[in-house]
Amino acid sequence: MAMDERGRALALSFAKRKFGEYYASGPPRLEPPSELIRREFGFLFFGEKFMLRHRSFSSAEELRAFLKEKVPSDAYHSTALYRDPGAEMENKGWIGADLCFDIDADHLEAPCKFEHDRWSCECGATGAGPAPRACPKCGAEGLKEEAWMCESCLERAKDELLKLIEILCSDFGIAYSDMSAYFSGHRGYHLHVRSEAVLRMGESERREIVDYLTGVGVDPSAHGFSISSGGPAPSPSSPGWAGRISMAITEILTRCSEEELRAIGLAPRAVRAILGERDSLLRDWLDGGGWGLRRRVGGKGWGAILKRAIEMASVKIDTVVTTDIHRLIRLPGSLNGKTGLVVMPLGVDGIEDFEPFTDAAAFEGEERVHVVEAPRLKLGGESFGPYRDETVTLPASAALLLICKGRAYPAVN
Amino acid sequence: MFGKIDLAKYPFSAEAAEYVRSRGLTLEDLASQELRPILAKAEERAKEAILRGRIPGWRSGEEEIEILSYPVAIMLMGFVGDQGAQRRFALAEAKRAYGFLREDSPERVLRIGEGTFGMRVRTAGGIRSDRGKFYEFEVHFADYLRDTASLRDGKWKLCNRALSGGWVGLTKEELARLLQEEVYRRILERVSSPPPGGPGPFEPVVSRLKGLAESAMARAEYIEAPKGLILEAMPPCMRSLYEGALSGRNLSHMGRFALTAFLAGAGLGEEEIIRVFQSSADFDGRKTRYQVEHIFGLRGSRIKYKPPKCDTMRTHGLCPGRDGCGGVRHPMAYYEHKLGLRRTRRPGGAETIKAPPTPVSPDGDG
Repeated sequence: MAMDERGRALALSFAKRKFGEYYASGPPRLEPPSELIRREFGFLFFGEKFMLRHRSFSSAEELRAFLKEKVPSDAYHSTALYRDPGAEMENKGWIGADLCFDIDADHLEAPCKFEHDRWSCECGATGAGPAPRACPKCGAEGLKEEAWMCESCLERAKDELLKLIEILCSDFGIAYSDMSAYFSGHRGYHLHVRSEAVLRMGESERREIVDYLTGVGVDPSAHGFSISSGGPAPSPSSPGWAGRISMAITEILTRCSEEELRAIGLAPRAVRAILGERDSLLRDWLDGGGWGLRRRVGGKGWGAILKRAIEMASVKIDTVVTTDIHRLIRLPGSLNGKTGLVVMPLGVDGIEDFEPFTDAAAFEGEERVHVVEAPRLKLGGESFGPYRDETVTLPASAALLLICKGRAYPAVN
Repeated sequence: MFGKIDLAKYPFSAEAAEYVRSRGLTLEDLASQELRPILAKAEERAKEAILRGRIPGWRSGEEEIEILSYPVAIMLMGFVGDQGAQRRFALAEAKRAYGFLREDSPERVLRIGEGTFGMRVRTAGGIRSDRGKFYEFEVHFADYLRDTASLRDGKWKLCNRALSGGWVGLTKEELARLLQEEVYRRILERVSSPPPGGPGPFEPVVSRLKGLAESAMARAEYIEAPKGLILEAMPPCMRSLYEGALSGRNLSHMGRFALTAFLAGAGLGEEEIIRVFQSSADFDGRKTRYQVEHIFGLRGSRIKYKPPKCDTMRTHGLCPGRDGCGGVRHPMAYYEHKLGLRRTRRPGGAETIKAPPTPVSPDGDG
């Protein structure tokens, strides 16, 4: 069900008014980036298609005043530092860039996507879940995707973020004080690393870090996991990938169900062996060199286990964001135009308890809106919807979320 | 810690640079008759590097000449200017350094890494890797990544190393290999900005080297596009790899593979392709032939390889385009499309490529 012209206009002016209120309030969570004068800024505005880029500011006050006056729907800053950030791309004079990571629920496999994501084609066909490459009905490509956000998707993304931070800290030796984590305001999390050690890295070096984190090119035999040759298998406490693979295999041995073991690609005999001798295999894995497991599952099974272990230990990041040294990233403390939620700064130790829909809400009070259509929404322990063509009173942030998502418009009376 | 022999082995080191400074020689001195042997040795360094990719040794007792000839050779190569020749020179010097470093004491290797190149490197106190390898050193991952960016062997991939707390474990030989990269980069940096004012009294030597560089590099260079290869129709990725290979840049393993498979797909023969790679600073005729033949399916798996698709090129950082090539998914498809070759589907048959009978006119409906 689509929204009509009038509904869209109402929604737009409502969103703009609320965003204006937010920026006028002098939001304490707004966090201008370090070395602000060396950064490029970019903005999107309500009802406009093009991004205003190559803006620079001489102070945080100037930036705040700009946000208050122009009320952008989305605000970004460069991960890079430039000698002249306001110049055209070729003349900016790249100095260095933060190492940034984006973990997006879009890139995670979550079964709930089929409950809340939809795709549609111009021919009228629609379906649940992520869009297929081509429309099954008419064959057209480039289908429209409508991604929804839900707590379990974001919970998965949060797990990935914690895993990322753990690897950066223990493997790369990056201090917590050099990392800042943010809720993106929509479907994921960002992590910025600001440190001399990474600032001047080029794209190829950053790509190596990405490959490290995502496990691309990991060769198990380089870490002592050959089927036949070499010494005992590395212990879970070994440094780097050796330890991570070992840890993942320990996990597989400890808690994989019959179904999960089969999904790994193990033959029925190997599955039975693991289920039947769990304890002794685990003991052998941790203390006895791990030959027992290798013998039980055979060459093919061993390969499948290693593949799964690498997948488990890898972090699902958006690789492009990390390698691109000229990228713009959301300004912490600004509002995300897709949701009206705050791009929320999180302390590294505050991540676990962070509740996106509650803690990133920018507004208090309630609003009456007409919802065209929306799946169920959980907010601050309360559950709303699903709705279909009805007028309801909602907490202001939930109302704004539906409006930003194009699912609702303010009720007129 | 550094005797004269050490300074001669490592003329790029901070210690050697200090020694040269302390001798207080001017350019005029170097052009003089008494110091003739230094200039002669410098010319020999450059010449042997260009012609044979190696740096000659020195006679016992001639360490002084050896040390002083190094900065002079760099100056000469700066004036020669030819980038391909400069790369060959830098590579030869860097390989020479590697040869000495891998045989030297851990203390000296460490000292050069830290003191000369400012690397964050330390002794590892005997960390044993899981492969039973003994790591004598640890280097910070940022330095490690900078130095291994152009190394292709999979063993250098960061994810296949023991990385802990930001430190990568290395054997002495591996650290020496990283230092080879440092030496290479440092020399390239220095030859790219020759002293102002031109060669002056060194003009005859410089012009001899220039002549040498021209003929040596021309042998390798393949100026005209091989018959049948239409430069204008090449996708940007392949064009860049191709031009890189011709100008003597070392391509990554994936880059070489992609370009070879592409050129093979474009109809070039093995010999023609091998010639394309001849200008690379690290050209090795036998190895290149082996690789090309492998890709042609004459060796190993007997499969004729296709060039990687755009996605793969992107993953390996070989796709230069941010804006894409108009939705093309494969470099070969780009080339065929530009050439006006069309993909048609025969009823019931496999997908084939068919050339239009006549050149397509701009508004032809052919």
